[in-house]
Amino acid sequence: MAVSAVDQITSFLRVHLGPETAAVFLYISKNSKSPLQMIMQQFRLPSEKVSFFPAENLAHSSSLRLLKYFEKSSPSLAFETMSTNNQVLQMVQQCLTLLLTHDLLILSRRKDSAIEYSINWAQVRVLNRAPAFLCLTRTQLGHAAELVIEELLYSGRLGLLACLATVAKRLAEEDEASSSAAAAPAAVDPGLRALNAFASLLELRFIQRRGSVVPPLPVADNSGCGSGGRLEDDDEFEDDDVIGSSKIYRVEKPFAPLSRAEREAALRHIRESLGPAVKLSNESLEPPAKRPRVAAETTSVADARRPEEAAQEFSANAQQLRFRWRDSILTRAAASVLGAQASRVLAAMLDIVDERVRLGHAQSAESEVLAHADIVAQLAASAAGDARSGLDQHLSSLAEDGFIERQSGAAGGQFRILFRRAIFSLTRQSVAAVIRQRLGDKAVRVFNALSEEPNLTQAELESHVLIGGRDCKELLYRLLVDGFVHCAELSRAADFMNPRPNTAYYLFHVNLEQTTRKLLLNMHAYQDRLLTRRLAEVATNRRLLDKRQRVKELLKNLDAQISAADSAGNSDASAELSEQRAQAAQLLTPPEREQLETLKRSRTALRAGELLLEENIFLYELFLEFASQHN
Amino acid sequence: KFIVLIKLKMSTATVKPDPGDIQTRLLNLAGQLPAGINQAALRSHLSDLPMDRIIQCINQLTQSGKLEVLQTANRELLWRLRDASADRRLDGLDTKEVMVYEQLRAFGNKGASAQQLQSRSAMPQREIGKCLNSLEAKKLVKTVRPVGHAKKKIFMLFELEPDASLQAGTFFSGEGFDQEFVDVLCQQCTLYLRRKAEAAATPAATTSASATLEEVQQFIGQSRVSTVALSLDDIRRVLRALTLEGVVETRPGPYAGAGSSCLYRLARSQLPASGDFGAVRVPCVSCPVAPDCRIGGEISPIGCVYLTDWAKGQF
Repeated sequence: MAVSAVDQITSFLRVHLGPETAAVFLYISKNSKSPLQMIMQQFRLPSEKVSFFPAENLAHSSSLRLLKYFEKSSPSLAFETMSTNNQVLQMVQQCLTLLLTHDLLILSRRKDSAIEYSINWAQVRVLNRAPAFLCLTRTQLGHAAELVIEELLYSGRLGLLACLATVAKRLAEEDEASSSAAAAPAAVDPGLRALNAFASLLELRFIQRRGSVVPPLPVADNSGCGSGGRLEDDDEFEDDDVIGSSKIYRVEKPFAPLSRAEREAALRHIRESLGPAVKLSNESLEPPAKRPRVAAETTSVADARRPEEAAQEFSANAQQLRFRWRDSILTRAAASVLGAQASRVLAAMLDIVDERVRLGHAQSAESEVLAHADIVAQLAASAAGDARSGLDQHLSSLAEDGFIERQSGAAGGQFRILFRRAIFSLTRQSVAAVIRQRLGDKAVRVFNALSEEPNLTQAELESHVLIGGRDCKELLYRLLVDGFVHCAELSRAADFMNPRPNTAYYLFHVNLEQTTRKLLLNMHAYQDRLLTRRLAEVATNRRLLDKRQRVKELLKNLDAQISAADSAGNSDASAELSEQRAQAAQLLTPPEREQLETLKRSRTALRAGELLLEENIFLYELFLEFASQHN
Repeated sequence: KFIVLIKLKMSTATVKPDPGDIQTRLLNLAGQLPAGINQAALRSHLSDLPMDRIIQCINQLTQSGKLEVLQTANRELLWRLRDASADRRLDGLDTKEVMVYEQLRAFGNKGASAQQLQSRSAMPQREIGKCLNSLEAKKLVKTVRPVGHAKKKIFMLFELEPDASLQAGTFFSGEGFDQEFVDVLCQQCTLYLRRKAEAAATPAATTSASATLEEVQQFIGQSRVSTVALSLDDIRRVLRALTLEGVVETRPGPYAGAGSSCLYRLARSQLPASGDFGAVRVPCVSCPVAPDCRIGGEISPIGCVYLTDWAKGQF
């Protein structure tokens, strides 16, 4: 794991969950598997049964050692203000709860029933990719869906009511802040938008139902976790579960759609939390007709009770986000090569595959067989009905370019999406694009020639690619140094012990897997540099950014006072406040505004660069995953 | 008894053959054996004639230019009718030079090195060198340096074109591989295919946006960028290089033309509407000092001018 990933997640935890949680995470990341046991072993304390629940099992002396560790690692931690070891213990266990809520920990139980903690690096990767996932959700499903995914990603797990209330509030604030809010009285109210987005995400399996994580001690229910608190039904906790935080409390139907009761409760809660200031419509609470109605007994136990008392929360489904990202990459590649219509056909086929994939389905090299009639039906159902004309031609084009494969010609044909082949092809094109950028077009000729016909000597390569001897030699050696091309030595002499350059053949070839691994490391390094540059620019301009923030708040206060004075009919006060407002707006000088504008452009470009690199990293990881399956 | 003796003497007396007859018979025999007359043929066809007279007549015919002498790989001498129209130029040459010349003629357009001539003729190296210098001075023989062996000399008849294995094809000039010529050909092929793509109704139209090998060859011929005629194979090699570069795509042709079975068109990534995919726009990917870049080092991302320019949109 790249060092920057750990730093990023630690800083994220520090900001969102507190420095103590970040310290616990950092400790477990360096000492995987049972940090408490390791502490005990390290300080030669008798081993004891350490269980997550209840708290009394931990020896006081080990808490003292833990306190000393955290003192050393981060002096500003709250631990040093605690007077009793029990307080330290409670704090550590609360930190562990928070990490479990974010699926950052994996629990395992040893033979002596002690619990071991390890970091779930896959989830760390998911959190690092959060900006890319948000961008994907926004592109596919809109801004409201993006906000829902953002809340769930950064909170780990949230109850339905808490999540929708937060999202609706943000939408309402954005509507208020945007200039078109007053000009669009008929806009859908933020509560309904949030609810519809939530329901769509659940239907498309972007989010899923999860059991909540019960903290070891009763905590006040003001943490925003919705359904925190002790579990009421002890039989839902399976004491024998040892692996994976998500199995502590199981949910039978993780993708069961929102019931009518849940929707009603959600809208009621949104109205209560947003207050009368925001206009909300009284639209019907009936779900759309095409959404399948699910009987109450097939959902979780929660539906039998009031939703807010249920020990059930929601979280983002990282696997579905990855699959969707992969699909988006394939459709964009098809669009750039074959046109928008062909990409819509491919998108329809991917939607069919998505509906048939079950939870936990592994990354497969090829999809199931799709019938021509199914594709026509899917196109008709989606907004891409015009892609049905010329469908056969689009399917032929997709087959020619290696995205799909025709299995048989009966009844219009049966097709299969070739994920592995498409990803391989895209990876090779991506590597060729990097070579083109670095070394020029002729180097791409050499790379592609060796990819198609491996094990060529330099002389043979020159005749293939029509490049002169000196130039070809230089390109070949630069490709060799950068790791795009590899060389195998074949001795001509009978004595293989001491091959010399003039007694050996040098055969050049391309090993795409090895090249991709090297490029992957490079991409992580480049991303790290962009992130460092972005943070450095923010740090350099921190004073200016703070000043802008203060000016913004001042203006906001003055606006509120002006509107209050206007509504009270006090024109003198209003005029005076307006003058103050005009003066406050001048606090930021034009050079400072220009500097802020430059900073904004720079941060946007750097963030966009990070996203581009993340996409390439994802593509390379997919390729390596398929390559390892093949091997 | 005296009369019988006289008759015997008359019958057994050798009649000296007329030299003209011997020469005529030799010429007739050479006409019957165009590959050449060797000593075995002389013994079998002219067994009635004394060998010394035959040899004398052969020398006369050789000197008069009607016969030419060759040496086979087994170092056996052959005499052959000389083509009256061809080799007046050889009249002033001595026998050794003629032998060397005839051996080079046998090698044809592949030519031969001095070592090969020596092994064939058993003549000393110095003699062969003298003969070759003399023949070169009289412009009967020329020197060719094969591609890849700049120090090696190959001799061949002056009027012959060197074999393709010696000069490695159209793309080589006297100084070696002509990169500039190849680049011009690549540009012309790309230009032609781009025009075809732009003239097509839709970019995705396969047939109208594509061209066969013959069409590309015709365009190159009409554009007069090459002083030599380019064969289909030459054009195929150029298009293959462009395919490897990602500029051109190939498609199986619906109609197999003479010598070509696929269509060529501009790669869709070259078309204006296509988007870019990937992180190549990030300057770090192509940065020449990327391996030395360290956070906190002399070259670091914090003060990087490439990132600054890129963020300003100038990269």
